[in-house]
Amino acid sequence: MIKYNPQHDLLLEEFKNINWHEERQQLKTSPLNKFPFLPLDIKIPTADRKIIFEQLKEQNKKMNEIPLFGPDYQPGANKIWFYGMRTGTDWIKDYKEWYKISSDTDIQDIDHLDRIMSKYDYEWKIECPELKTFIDSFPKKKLYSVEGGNYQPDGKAYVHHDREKFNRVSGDLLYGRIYIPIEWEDSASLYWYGFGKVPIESGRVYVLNTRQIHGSHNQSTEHRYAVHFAINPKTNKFEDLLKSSKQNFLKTF
Amino acid sequence: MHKLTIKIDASTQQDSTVIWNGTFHSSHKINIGHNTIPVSIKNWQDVNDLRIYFLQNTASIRITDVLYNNMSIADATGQLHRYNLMQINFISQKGQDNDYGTALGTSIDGLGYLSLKLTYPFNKWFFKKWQEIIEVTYDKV
Repeated sequence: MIKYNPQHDLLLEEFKNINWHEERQQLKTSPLNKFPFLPLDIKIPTADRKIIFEQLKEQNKKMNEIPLFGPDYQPGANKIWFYGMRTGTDWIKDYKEWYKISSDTDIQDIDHLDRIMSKYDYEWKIECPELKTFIDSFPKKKLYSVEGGNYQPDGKAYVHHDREKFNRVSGDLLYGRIYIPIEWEDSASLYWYGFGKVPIESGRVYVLNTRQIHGSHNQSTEHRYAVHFAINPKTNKFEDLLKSSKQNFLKTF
Repeated sequence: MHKLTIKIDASTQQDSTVIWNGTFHSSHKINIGHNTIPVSIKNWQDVNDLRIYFLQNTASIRITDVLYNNMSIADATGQLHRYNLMQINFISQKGQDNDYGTALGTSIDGLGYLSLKLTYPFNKWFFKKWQEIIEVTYDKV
């Protein structure tokens, strides 16, 4: 049963209908850090994606047992944690610690965050070789967290911005949540400030500018699965990937 | 139909006047405590100026919310709206504008008026204001 919040539903419905045509055109001359999202020139192989999809479905029962933070803002959504820090207690406590650190207002830059995150050991909490292989090959300096998300049919994320501090350190580039839609239909929609409905391709890797407000509504009859991960991106390879992806994205509109 | 609703808390009884794009819109009796000022918009342009004057104010007025067609800025942004919602303009006893300067915020002590610039379409303005409030305040709190 999806929890109904009249004010939040009203905001989400209005947000879905905003025409951002003018703002989309302005992206052609905008720096990367103003982009709402960026589809990267990189995709997870279809065969691997299908295996990850099956694993996410298998984990669905486990997902339902995990309380999401701020469930009032994400009715009908839940998540699992594939990879993250290990403190020696249970993984939900570890996740809460991760959430607290990544949202900490005192974090000034990615190097500062890296110093904090380096105090912990990390582990794959759920084995998924296909996902691990893909993420290992993704350009990055360090991996902090890999999460799997599930939105039920009619599941929603009300309009919000994320408090994670990774997206504060973009400079002129774009850095935020690295997001892979694993399996979803066109009507499993994601809406972003300054753009509107995000054109999603299952298996494509996206960088999401979660500092900008966004919302989501799975209007399909199927569960919508995605994987997202947090990294220290400071590598030349990642910068090159951003720049080439920007050029290709701008050709699409 | 475009409807703005301004919610304020007042510590003294007084009258207030709403000016929309430089033209008288309506007068309102303000009571001690919670008050709602409805503003139905009939004439609009690309950029619009809403002003609410408090020319009998001897104490404190605090704006607690601005709603557009029932969408609440306070609900959307939490406490963040307090930092950057409206332009507060103070008026001196001599009747001169800006003697005490202007400020972004939600409180007026003494004589003054609230000013809010709204671009059309208003639903888009609402979300742009939301994003602006996040960008200018979130990292500071």
